[in-house]
Amino acid sequence: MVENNDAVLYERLAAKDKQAFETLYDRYEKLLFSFAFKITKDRGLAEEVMQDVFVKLWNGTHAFDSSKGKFSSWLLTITRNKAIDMIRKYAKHEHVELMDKDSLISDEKPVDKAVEWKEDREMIQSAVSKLNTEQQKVIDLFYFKGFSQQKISEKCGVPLGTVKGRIRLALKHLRETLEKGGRSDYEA
Amino acid sequence: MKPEQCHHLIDYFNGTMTNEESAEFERHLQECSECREELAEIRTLTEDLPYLSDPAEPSPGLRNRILEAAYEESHPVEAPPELEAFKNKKSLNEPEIKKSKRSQTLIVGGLAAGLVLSLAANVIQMSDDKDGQLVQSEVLERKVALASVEGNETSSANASFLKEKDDQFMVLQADGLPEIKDGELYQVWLIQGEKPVPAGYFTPDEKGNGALVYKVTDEDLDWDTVAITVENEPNLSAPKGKVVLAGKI
Ligand SMILES: [Zn+2]
Repeated sequence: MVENNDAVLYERLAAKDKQAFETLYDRYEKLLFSFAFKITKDRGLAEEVMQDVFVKLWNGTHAFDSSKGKFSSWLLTITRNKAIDMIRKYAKHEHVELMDKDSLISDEKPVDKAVEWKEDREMIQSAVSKLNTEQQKVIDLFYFKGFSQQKISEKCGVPLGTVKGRIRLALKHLRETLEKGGRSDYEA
Repeated sequence: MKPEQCHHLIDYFNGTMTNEESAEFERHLQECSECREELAEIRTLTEDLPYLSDPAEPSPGLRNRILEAAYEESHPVEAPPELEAFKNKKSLNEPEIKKSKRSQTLIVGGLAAGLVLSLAANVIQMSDDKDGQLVQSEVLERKVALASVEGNETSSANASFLKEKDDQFMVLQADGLPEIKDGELYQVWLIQGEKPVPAGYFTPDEKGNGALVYKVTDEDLDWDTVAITVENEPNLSAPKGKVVLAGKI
């Protein structure tokens, strides 16, 4: 339902309907900001990511093609790309690595209990916690840090040629655990 | 042994390659079903990971800042009536265009005439050669003939779209253009639907001939029209002057 609705809103947005644009903004603001913040670990950078994503969405630089999948997945992908881009630039200029202390699952308790993706989050967190440390690490380096294959190989101490296999295996385990975890509507 | 390219899937997904390497991998993807499947699989398997994020609160002013920035970047277009007549479309309800900063004119006719002419010569050679002998790495993608909107048969133009490696260029050549006043210039537009994007400008020589090479940065856009207008200043965001030549892509 919501997805269909997204696509309809997007169509209106593409026709320069400000109301549709703002509805989509409100719908995704918090998720995108939280996701950008998870990647960048920096409020300022996360806000820059948001601005870039939404301005390009409005002016059509980022154009969604509904035949290629869900709007939300597409929006999250462009957000991830921009956020990773930002940390690469930032790291280059500041000569620091932003994310040394973190792990895939944070110890902090989220402030907002009523947030929409709470259930998904708990389910995915629980599935991630069942992965072994190496698998958690490889997913984090690959997905949330966007490291190159070379860098993942160095950080994990595995040969370059086995990095892809590691990643796929870790992701598949995660998916299996999620599916076993009673989420029968998972594909929906 | 797998082809070397198969090992670049992770770097492709994460965008850690140069544009050239990415383009090369994309060519590989067309041939390698294994990589296509793996890429689709990784996309599916990572789809839910963003939901792992801990809820964080954006600052209260963010919404307004972003909406303002977005609306600021678009300007209403007032297309001249001639263009409308040419396009035979009436629906300009919400005319908005993109700023043209993404697009850039490489060479403006007259300033680097040598290069324009040599490129243009290549185009002619290519298009006249029925055997399809293409010049080196440039590939002619399509050629568009522009005709006078007012039925003036002495003026005409051709726009050729060339692909060179990853870049697309439009080479435009116009002949027998009507004289223009001092300070006026011919502005070229690429138009998709209701959105014109300035594609460079030129002033013609005394015979009314002019040319320019324009690097098309928005290749993905589905351009439908090339048009030339007369303007008082270069690179407006939307045409103000009258359309002299236009052609459907
Ligand atoms: Zn392959």
